Amino acid sequence: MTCDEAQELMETVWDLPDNDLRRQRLIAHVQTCSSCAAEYEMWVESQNMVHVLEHEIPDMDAEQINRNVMDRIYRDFPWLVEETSKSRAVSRVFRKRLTLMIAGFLALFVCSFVYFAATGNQPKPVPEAVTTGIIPTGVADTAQTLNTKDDYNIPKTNSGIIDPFVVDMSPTQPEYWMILSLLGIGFAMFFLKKLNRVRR
Amino acid sequence: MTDSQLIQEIKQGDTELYSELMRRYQRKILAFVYHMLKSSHMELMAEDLCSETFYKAFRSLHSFREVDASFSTWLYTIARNTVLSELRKHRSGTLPLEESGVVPVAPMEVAPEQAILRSERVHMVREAINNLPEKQRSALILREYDQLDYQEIADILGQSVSSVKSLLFRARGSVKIQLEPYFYEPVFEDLRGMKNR
Ligand SMILES: [Zn+2]
Repeated sequence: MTCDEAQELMETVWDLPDNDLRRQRLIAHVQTCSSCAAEYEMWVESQNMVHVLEHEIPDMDAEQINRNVMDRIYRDFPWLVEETSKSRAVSRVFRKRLTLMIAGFLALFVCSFVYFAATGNQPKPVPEAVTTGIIPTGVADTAQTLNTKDDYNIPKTNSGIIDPFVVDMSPTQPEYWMILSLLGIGFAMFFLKKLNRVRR
Repeated sequence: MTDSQLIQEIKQGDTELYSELMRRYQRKILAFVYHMLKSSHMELMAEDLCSETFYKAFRSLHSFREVDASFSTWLYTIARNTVLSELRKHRSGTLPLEESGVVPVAPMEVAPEQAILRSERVHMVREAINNLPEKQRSALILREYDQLDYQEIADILGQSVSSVKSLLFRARGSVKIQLEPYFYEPVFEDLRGMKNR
């Protein structure tokens, strides 16, 4: 390292960690070069001196400041006094109940899901015959070959009229309980949010 | 409870928790305000301006968004603006630049001559920092006394990280140049002897 490099580094190394390579190289140079050493010592001294002010803060009563600010807030925003006490009393009870409600619905959801997974699988509808448009070839000498199965299976095309969506569901089915519990959780969450907003 | 949880609860109406939030940052803000004011010999106002900072912060707490800055950075910004507007007010008025203020109190166990040397040294450094332009002074105080990183200082001063680096670089250089003459004086020699013990 040249002296010029060292001088330049002296101005910039102060925020680098102690184990930084640039810092270590500078220190290595300073140990071998007396003119840079003098300059470096001045930098170190001036840095140290700046820190003498760190503890020059008279003891001030932080709690007093705290109380002053709170008093001023309650004086300027009187409605907050009531709100604070209300929010402390009301929210604790309500939140507890809502949490219990969410937990209950969650349990219901899990139970119905497990039940659904274990037993609720209904037999899947048999896939219909693929429509290819090709009529099986008739064999001339067997009269009974062409039977009723050979009629065209024309897929329902979109006629522009949508069939109403019908969910086939009764309280005995697990899907019913799953959807009900999800609705319950949703409602409870909505209510919790609403409660938070109202108290503002 | 984290800062953001506390702030959430306060916004939701539990105002009393603001007291707890203040307790977390009071010392830091007070120290920053003190150092900023001390350079204009106005440190007696430190407690008032610290209260003012926390009051302003509460009033605009609803506009505080954590994505933009941390709560502490935001507080420092308010503190700095509060101090600057106060300094501006006094600069235009008649400010008695008397030395009175609070005389630096040396710890009891320190011998009197050491206390004198110490207060001499404090005075030198104080003067050197006083002479810095405001941005350099703020950057130096935030870096050296509050140990904030470049990004935080940049947020508070509304500058880029690279300008913060250059502010710090210039501030340190300028402080060193101002202190240099003292390095050859007897006071400093004595101090050096004290330090090496
Ligand atoms: Zn050299």
